[in-house]
Amino acid sequence: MAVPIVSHAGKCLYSLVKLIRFAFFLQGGCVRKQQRPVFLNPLKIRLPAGAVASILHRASGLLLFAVIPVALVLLQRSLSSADEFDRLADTSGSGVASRLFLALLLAAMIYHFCAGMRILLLDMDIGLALPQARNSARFVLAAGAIALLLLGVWLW
Amino acid sequence: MVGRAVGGARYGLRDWLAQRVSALLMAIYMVFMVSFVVAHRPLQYGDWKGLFDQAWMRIFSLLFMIGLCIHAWVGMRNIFMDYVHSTGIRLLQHVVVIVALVVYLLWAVQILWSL
Repeated sequence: MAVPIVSHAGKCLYSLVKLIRFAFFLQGGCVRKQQRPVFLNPLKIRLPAGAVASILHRASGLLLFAVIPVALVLLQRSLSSADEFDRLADTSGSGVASRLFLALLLAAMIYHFCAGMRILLLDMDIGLALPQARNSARFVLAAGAIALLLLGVWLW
Repeated sequence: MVGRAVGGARYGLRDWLAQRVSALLMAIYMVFMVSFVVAHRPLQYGDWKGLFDQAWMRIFSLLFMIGLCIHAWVGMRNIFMDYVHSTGIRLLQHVVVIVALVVYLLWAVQILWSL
C-alpha cells in the first residue's frame, strides 16, 4: 500500500508550495513583476555585431532570391546576340535607379558571400570564441559597407 | 517541441550539410566568373558567348543552378519557419518557392542548351 502514502505526501508538498507562493504574492513579488517596463523600440535596441551580421545575411539572401529571375533574363538576353549584349552593356550603367539597383545587388552578393564564408569557418571551429567571432562579424559588416561604397563610386 | 524527440525528423543535418555544400559550389563558380570577367576586361560578346558555348561551362552553370535551388530552398524555408507562424500561409509560401525554383532551373536549362 505504498501508493496512497506517496500521493498523500505529494499533496502535502503541493499545499506547501502554494503557501510559499501566496506568501511571495503578499510580499508584492507579483505586483513588481507586472510593473516592469516593456521596452521594444527596434531603433534603440543595440544588437551585438554577430546578430547584425546574421540578420543582414538573411536580408541579403532574401533579396538575392527575389532577383533570380532578373539574373536569368539578363543571362538570356546577353547570350542572344551581339547587338543585345552591347545594348545591355550600355544601358546597365545609365539611369539613377538602375545604377542604385545594380550597386545594391552586387553589394548584397559580396556581403552574402563574405558572411557565408565566415559561417563556414565557424563551422570548422575557426574563430569560434566570442571575441574572435565578434571581430569577424565586424570585419564582414565593414567589407559589405566598403563594397557598397566602392560600387557606388565606380558606377557613378 | 511537445513530445518530440530531438533529431526525430532527421532532416536537420542533411539540410545543414546541403546548404554548406551548395554554398561552396556556388562560391567556386562566382570566383571563376569574376576572374573570367576581370581577365577579359572590357568584356566582349565573343568571349562571353564562347564561354557559354563550351560543354563544361554549361554543365558547370547547371551545377551552379542546382546548388542555388537547394541553397535558396533551405534559406527561404528557414526564414519562413522563423517568422511565419500560420501553418497555412507557411505551407503556401513553401509551395510557391519550390515551384519558382523548379521553373528557374528548367529556364536555366533552356537558356544554356537551346540558344
